[in-house]
Amino acid sequence: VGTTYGPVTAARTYDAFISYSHAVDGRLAPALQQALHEFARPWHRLRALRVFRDEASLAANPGLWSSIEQALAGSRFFILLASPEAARSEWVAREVRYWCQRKPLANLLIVLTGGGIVWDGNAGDFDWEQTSALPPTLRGRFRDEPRYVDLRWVQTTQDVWLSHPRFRVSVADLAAPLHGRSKDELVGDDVRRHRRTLRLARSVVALLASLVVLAGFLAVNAERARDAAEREALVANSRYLAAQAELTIDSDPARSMLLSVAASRLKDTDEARRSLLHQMARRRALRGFLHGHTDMVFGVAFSPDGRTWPPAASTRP
Amino acid sequence: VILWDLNRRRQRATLTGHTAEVSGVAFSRDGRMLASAGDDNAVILWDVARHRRQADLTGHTGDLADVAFSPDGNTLASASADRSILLWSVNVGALPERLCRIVNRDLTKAEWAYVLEGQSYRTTCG
Repeated sequence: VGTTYGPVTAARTYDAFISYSHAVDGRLAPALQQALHEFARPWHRLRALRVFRDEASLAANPGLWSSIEQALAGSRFFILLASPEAARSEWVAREVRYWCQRKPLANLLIVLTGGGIVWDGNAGDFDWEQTSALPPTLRGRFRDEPRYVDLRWVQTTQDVWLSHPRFRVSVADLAAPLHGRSKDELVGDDVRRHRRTLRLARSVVALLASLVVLAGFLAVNAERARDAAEREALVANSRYLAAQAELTIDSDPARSMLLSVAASRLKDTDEARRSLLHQMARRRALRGFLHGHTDMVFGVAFSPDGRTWPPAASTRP
Repeated sequence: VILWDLNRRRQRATLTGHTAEVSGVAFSRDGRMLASAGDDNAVILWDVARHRRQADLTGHTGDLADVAFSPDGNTLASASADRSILLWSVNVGALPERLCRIVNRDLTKAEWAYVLEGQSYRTTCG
C-alpha cells in the first residue's frame, strides 16, 4: 500500500494543532486545549480558538495518520508539548517533521512540560547534549533561540484552571500569537470582558433587590441570595486582582504590588495570599519607591551626611 | 515530603514539588504552614491543611541545608551552601502593610478604575 503525497485538502481548519505525548501529558493537553478555547472568548462565541488535539493514541491505531495529516494541513499553528517522552515519541517526531517540511517554522510554538531546553548561542542551534525535551528532527531548524512557555511547574489539576494566575499568564503568552495580537492587547480584552461580567453580576444583584420589594414573603431567601452573590463577586474580584498583579509583576512593579494588596483587602483568598508571598520573594532587596518626579529622572545621589537622599534635583540632563 | 497522621499512624499526604533532595523541613508555630528546603536551591512554603504549595522562595544559589521559623512566626530563615542565610517575611497578615511601605503610595483612582471599573474607589494603603 503506497502513501500518496501531494496537496492535502483541508476539510476543516484549525487555529492550532497540539502535538504531545499521551503518556505524560494526557491530562495537561486537554486542559490547555480547553484554556485556549476559553481565554479571551467573546461572549457570543462558543470558543475563542479552534484547537485540534487527537484524543486517540496514534501508536494504537496507525491508520489515523491520514486524518492527522489533514488536521496538520488545516492548522495555522503547531503547539509542541515538549518533554523527554515527547522527544522519544515516533509520532510526535512525525508530526513535527511534517510541520517543518510544509508549514512556517515561525508558527511552531513550544510549551515545555518536562526535561530541559538549552540553546547554544555560538553554534546557533540547541545544545543537544543538554536538551532532552525536543525531538532530534528539530536539529538545525532554528536560527535564533525560539521563545517557549514553561509549564514544568504544573502539578495538580488546580494548576491548570484559568483562575490560577500563573497558568493564566502562560495561556496568555501562548494565545497571543494565535490571536495575532500582543499579550497586552489580549489582557486588555480580558479586563473589558471582566467588566462586562461585573456589570451583569450587578444587574443580577439589582434584580434580586427588586425581587425583595416585589415579593415580601420571599425576602429572606432573596436577601440570602444577594449576600451570596456579593460574596461571590468579592472572591472573583480578589482572584482577578491577584491575576492582574501577576501579569504586571515585571512591567509595572509598584502597581503590581498594590494590586496584590488590593486583592487581599477585598477577600483573603488563596490566590491573594500566594500573590503577596510571591511579591515578597521577588522584592527581597527592594527598600522603597520615591515618587514626585513628573518627568524622566537622570541622576541620583545621597547627601554627604546620608540623612536625606533625594534623587538629583534636576530632571533634565 | 510526606505528612504523617500520628493518631492513625499512616500517611496523610505527599507533597511533591522539589526537583532534588529535600534537606530540611519546619512547621510554623501555628502549624498552618510548612517550609521545606531542597537541593534545588529553593524553599517551598506549603499550606498544611490543604496540602497545597503556597509559594516558592527562590534566591539562594546553592543547596539548601536547613530552614527555621522565628518564634513569633513572622520570619523564616534558610541556610544554604552558598554561604548565606536569607530571611523571609512569611507573615501573610503583615505583608500588605509592608508592601504599602515599600511602594510608598496608594493605588491611584485611574489605576483602580482601569482594573475595577464601576466599583467605587477604596484606598488600598490608606
